[in-house]
Amino acid sequence: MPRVPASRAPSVSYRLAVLSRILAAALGGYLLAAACAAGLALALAHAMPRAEAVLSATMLAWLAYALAAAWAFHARNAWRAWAGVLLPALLLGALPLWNAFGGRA
Amino acid sequence: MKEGFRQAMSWLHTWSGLVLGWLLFAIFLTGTLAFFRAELNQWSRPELYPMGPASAATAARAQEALLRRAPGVTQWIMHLPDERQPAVTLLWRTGNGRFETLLMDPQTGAVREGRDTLGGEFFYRFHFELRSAKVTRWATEGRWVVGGATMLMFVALLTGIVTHRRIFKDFFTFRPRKGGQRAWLDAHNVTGVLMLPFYLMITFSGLMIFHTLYLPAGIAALYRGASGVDSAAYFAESSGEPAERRALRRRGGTAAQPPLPLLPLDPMLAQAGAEWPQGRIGDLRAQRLPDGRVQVEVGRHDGDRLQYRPQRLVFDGADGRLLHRVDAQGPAARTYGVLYGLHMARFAGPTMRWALFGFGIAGSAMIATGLMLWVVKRRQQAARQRAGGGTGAWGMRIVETLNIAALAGLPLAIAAFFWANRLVPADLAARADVELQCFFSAWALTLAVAAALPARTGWRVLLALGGLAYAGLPLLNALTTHAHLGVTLPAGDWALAGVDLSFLATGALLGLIARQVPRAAPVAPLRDGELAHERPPALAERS
Repeated sequence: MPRVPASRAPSVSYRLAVLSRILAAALGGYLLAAACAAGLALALAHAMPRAEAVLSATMLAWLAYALAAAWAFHARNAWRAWAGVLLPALLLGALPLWNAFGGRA
Repeated sequence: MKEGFRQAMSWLHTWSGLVLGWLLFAIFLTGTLAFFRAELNQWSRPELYPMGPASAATAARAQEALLRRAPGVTQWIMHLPDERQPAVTLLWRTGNGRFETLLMDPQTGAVREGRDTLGGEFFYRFHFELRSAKVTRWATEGRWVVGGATMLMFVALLTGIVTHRRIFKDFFTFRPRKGGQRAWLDAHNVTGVLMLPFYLMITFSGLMIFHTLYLPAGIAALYRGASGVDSAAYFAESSGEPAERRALRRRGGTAAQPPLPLLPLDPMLAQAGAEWPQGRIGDLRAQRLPDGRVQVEVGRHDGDRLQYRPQRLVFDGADGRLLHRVDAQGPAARTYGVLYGLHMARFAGPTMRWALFGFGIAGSAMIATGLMLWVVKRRQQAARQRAGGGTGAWGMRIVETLNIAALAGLPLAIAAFFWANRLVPADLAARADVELQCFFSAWALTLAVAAALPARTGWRVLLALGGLAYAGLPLLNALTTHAHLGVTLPAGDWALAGVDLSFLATGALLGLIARQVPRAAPVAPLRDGELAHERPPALAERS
């Protein structure tokens, strides 16, 4: 968490940093959850029926969302908050996105 | 870093809980009431009391009565009565029109008209889609708002666990005499830890129940077809339906059909009884496949097992032979079904249902004490910082006002709903919506009262009014209907008597809480140089 500055009233940059973390948690976290649901489902589909893969991946994705929220406020600064949420989202979501835009896997 | 982590999670716990805390309280409280929606449905339609007993002939009788009433019916659904819902519920459509519904006496097959009301269904629908009218266009938006609140609750629960390091020791700590922040914190901890598995289950299952709305990315990834996402295939596969019935799931999948004939239900029911020797029949459904064949689906009673939805048998409508057994297969589908079933609590007998109701009240109390704790903590911090209360004072006042309107106002508004159910004339047009308007108006009024009055007065007034309103309901019931305690208690009709008795108990409880609101005037602000802990304890801030 960003340190509260010495003066009583929090500065504008502090407020913006908190807002950034909130967005990282709420929006970034959702992106991570969606990427997790899609990416994990694709991976699990090799080992189980489609519906099973979707349900398993979706249940885990909610946990990922909660973890993303925790990370967004534990990270040392707002940049790291976003990085910790968006990078895994990109990794997990790369293949589903490629499929969605016409590729095949 | 570990201290930093717990502090960060404590901050996140406070704010994820506070931002929509009042909405979460409303969702939790109405959801708790929804555990008894069948009983509240019965109480809300006293004209239907008493209903005849069900028998083996009920289904056949109901089908005949339906075909007499609607000869051109093309699809029907029949919910058989059970110990909580004594009437046969029929839904049907002719052609491709909307479904109509009616209630039927299981003994005589006669149609029974109750007053137009949502009854217990209101609390059920409000708690997951913020339902505000009998027919609405805003169901999806309401579900999204509830979904957001549910995610915040999930985060608040998990961060609360992280923050609360001495879970077991603090569980046995309750210091009401210490007053102020300490007492509210202890109450919040105890109610929070008490049924923690229940809260986690109810929140997570809530997220999963609407996963096709909230988080469809997995479906989109695996069910992508030439013409978009084939979600009908997902629904069918996850519930174990055979391929030929998938077309039924597609919107408009059944074109205009010839009417259904009288179907031979008794042999099908006999076969279902043989398939499920310990089981009960829950419902029957009849419709045509796109190719014109009639199929009858017999569903097991959804209270027979924990996993929701129940097993189904599909019969051929012409010769009555068993075609398919439909049930969700696979460990993930079953896990999802159990989560769903735990949330819906259809499996629960009377004792378990009361236990779940108690857990729900504890959860509502957890949210309530958390909201109170925030205000009390802020007030004590402001008092300690003399002049420093400036920037926080308006925020505190808003939270305090919303606390009163939610924690004391909502129970009063719910009582107003039940008063409206008895007082609004039975033949008034759109009567159900009038009842809901009474509910929302009453709630809005409590917000106005909370904003206008000083906090302690607002608490006392609204809690006392709530106590009177609930205590008065059984009396009002006796004055306006024949389904009151004087009749239902001797007859042993515990569904109805239980509701009346619960109203009495709620009235007493609210009255007791109203009396706990302290009468002491707010303490004088600290003078120059004086520190709060130097004051004698008797004068210290109490809330």
